[in-house]
Amino acid sequence: VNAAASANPLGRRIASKISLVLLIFEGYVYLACTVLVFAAVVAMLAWGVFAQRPALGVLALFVALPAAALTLAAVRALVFRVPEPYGVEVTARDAPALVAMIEDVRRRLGAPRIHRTIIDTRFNASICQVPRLAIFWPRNTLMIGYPLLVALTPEQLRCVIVHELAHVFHSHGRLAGLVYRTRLSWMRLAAALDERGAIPIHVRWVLASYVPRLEARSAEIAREQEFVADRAAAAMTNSRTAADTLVAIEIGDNLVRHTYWPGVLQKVERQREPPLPFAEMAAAVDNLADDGARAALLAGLMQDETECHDTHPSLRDRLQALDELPRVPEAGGRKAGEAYVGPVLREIARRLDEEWQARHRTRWQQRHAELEAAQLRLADLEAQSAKTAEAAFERATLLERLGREDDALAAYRVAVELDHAYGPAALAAGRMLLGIGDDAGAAMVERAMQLDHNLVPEACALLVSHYKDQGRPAEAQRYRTRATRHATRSAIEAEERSAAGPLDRFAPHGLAGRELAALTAALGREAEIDGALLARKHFRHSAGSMLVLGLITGRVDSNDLASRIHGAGLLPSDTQVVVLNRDQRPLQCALEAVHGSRVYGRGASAIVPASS
Amino acid sequence: MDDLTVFVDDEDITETAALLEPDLVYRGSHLAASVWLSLVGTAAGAFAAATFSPDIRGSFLNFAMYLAVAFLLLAGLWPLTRRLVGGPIVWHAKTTFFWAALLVCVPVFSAGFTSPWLAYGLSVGGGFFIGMMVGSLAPQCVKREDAWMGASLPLGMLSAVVATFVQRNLISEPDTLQSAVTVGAIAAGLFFTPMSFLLLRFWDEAHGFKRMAMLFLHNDNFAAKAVTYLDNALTLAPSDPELYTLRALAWSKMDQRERAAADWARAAELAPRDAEPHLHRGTDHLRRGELDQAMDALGEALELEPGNAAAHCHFAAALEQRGDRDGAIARYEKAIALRPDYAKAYANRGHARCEWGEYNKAIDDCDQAIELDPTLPDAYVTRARALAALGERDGAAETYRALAELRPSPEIQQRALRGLEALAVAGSVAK
Repeated sequence: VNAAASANPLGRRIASKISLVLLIFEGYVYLACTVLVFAAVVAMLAWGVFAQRPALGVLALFVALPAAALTLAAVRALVFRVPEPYGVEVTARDAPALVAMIEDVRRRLGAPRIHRTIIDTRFNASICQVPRLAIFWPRNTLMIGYPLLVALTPEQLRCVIVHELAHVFHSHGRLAGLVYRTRLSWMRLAAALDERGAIPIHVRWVLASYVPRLEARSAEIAREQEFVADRAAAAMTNSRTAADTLVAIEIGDNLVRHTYWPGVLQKVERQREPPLPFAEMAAAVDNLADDGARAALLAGLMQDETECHDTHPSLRDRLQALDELPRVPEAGGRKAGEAYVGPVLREIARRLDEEWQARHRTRWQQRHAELEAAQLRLADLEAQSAKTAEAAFERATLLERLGREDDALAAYRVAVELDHAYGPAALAAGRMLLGIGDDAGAAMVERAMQLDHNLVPEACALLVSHYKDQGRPAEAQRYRTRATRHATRSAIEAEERSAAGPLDRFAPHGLAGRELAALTAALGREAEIDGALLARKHFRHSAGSMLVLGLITGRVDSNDLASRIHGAGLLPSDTQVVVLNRDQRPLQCALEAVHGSRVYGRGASAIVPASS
Repeated sequence: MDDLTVFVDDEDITETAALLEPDLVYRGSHLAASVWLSLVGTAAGAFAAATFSPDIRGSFLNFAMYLAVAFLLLAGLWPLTRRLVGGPIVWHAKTTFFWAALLVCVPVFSAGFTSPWLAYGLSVGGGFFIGMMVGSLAPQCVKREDAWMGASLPLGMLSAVVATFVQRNLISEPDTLQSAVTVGAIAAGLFFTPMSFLLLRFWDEAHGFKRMAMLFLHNDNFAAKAVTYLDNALTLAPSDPELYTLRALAWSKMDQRERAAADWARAAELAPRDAEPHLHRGTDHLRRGELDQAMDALGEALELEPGNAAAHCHFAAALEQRGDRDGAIARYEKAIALRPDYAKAYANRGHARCEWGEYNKAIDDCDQAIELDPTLPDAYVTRARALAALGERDGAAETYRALAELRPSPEIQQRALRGLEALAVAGSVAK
């Protein structure tokens, strides 16, 4: 291990670690300064009051309490415990071979003790060092993903364990834990301050400049540490096994993520109860792809490059560092779970399944019910003889929801054929065509916008994304502009329809005598109302008009008065009922200027029909 | 009139309008509002001066009473203003309070200097600053912004100097609370009482509506909102030709050609000797590519005002679009001769030269235009085109990028992006 480690010059590694420790320290200095600034403000205000400083005293009157609350929130955000990792714990009694193998590797490496071994759901393994006291006295937990147990060979799993324990041996976990803690501290602080709408500018600056710097530097060091751990794994097994293990994990993770889990989720259409994905994984994992597909996948993975924020180097760089060529490991054979865990593996899968089912059951059943209803409705639609664009569109939507995308596209096209002026169908067809890379979709989306201007936001978003992907920013900008124009004009129209103001165009209300009598009777039953003004507002930015009823009341607290009058159902639903308090004086003047607007006045013969 | 061709984006307009709109319509008594603002200013001055008085710190009881008064004043003044004179005056009351408190700091600090030169010098400087700030932040409804500034500047200095004089020469015990309050009230009262009555004198709601409409006219998407304000302004001032001109522009932006023509005709009828309505009508025809009508309208503007550089410039643009290169250049030169700092004329002349292949001269013109007005988007577009035509693709790309950073109108932004795309297609610009 030491020989392997020394391949990376010691001085450089120490310098890297020191620089990261200094960077973490810098983060804590900023955190301390931030909290101190908050505390200093509170202290200064308190001093201002006790030392009888008038300006500070006045300031304290208004900001002392919020400042103290903010300080408390900042302090509370920074006091937290990193949660213990979660999974199914295995002991020497459950899986003696696994624990013995781990212990053997640990002894050979001279690594610190592993306090817990847990099996979780990821296609990965890791070591977590959670301090028992502040940042001291760590408790080491080895986490092994269940998918590794059913996909890797015993030798490959051993290689993984060596890799992880090499991280502990070199104290990589502690540094990673510190980085995690520092980053989390900033995130929690930012969230706590943001909740109160009070992120000071210096905190914004630190979040924008320090946190990305910490992430980039820690990622760089984490990548170096991965190389060290890889070399340790190669030294204890051999470089070929280490390389095969890396490839097996990358391919397996990819297949499980992109093939196995989507397959599990697709069962929602047929099964009411959630399946048992972990129990079924062992049998499925070797059949997710044939050798050709695995080779193609590996070729694709070898194209990936390491990015500056990656904590793990790319597969290509890792194999290059091991001086090994990529090759697809053989599928089948005895698996690590069988060899090291034995019959208890089934029990572990059961517990993981239980936990997964408990977490997803409600949503699964809801989705199943939705799809079942969709199937029924689809059958109904297919049985119907009447062929309308709306029915075809609904059928297409259901097909798309059921994941039958080719059928859905064909059905959307049918809807368009049935009614060339049906915008939603044109939009959906265009969207699906763009999704499969067919440029004809852009013209259909454009047509949809022309047919129905309510579709402009969605259509523009689709076209902006399409032209951005095509590297045509000017076209993307054209649709962004169109979306903005639509949003602004819609907001102006909506604002006009949802409020009344003194600059609106008012005309006599035009209500018939009987309707007016019912309204004034209802107004008369409200003791708070001293008078009422009614006029018709003609829209400027769109067609149509609405009634505006202004209620004159002496009471300050008359919040529900408007809703009560509205709820009486004597006026059209789009009528604006406004309580004319002092702030609404300009509106009151505008309403009063309309002929026949005063429809009610307490203690007066108030009803003046507008038609008179 | 503002240069309404300058683009302001939707977000900025919405935010600014949200700030200004609530205070624009006031139906209370103007006199009551002016008197109230004068009182608020005087009270704020007295309060700010009391804050600096040593008497406040004489005993804990004094200090507690001061805090109680401060709380009542700062927490209760705005609801009281709303109740007494109406919501739209609250913002004016807040700004009055702020500037009055700041103004009083000037004599308070000046009093600390024994040298009269230093004390009065500081007063003049501080008073000038406050006067300038208040003068430049005239309320929307003030019709005569020049008069507002003209009154604010000397009043700021005068009130600060008088308060310093009173503090230094007429008050026997300057450290007492009463003295401080007197000096504060004198300084703020001297400034804000005349300013409040100036507000009363120049209060013109139609002017406020016009300013609001002009904000909206900086972006075509808000043209309908501009019409709303101009309709209301015209109800209050039905014979103001500028309002008709602006409303015609708004109608034109909304493609309501007949309404626009009617408003321009009305504006010309109300101000038969004014070139502005004809100029705007001509510019609008030019924008639509209606060259004959544009030249007729601009010709009328030039008949009324032969020295109107903008009319010459737009006339030249019409000639340029007609293909009359020499006529256009001669007109642009006339516009530049009339107004040597007219950036748009240089940019347009650069455009004409670029169209006729005189790329180096076009670049010189555009550089001159950018020097005069670094935010003029047309100059950047022409410069980039000329550079690209000369094969200087890196320079062209740089110019397009500089233009994109100016947040120009969507049309110009799109032209910049298209230019960049064309350069990228040409293959020599590293993205």
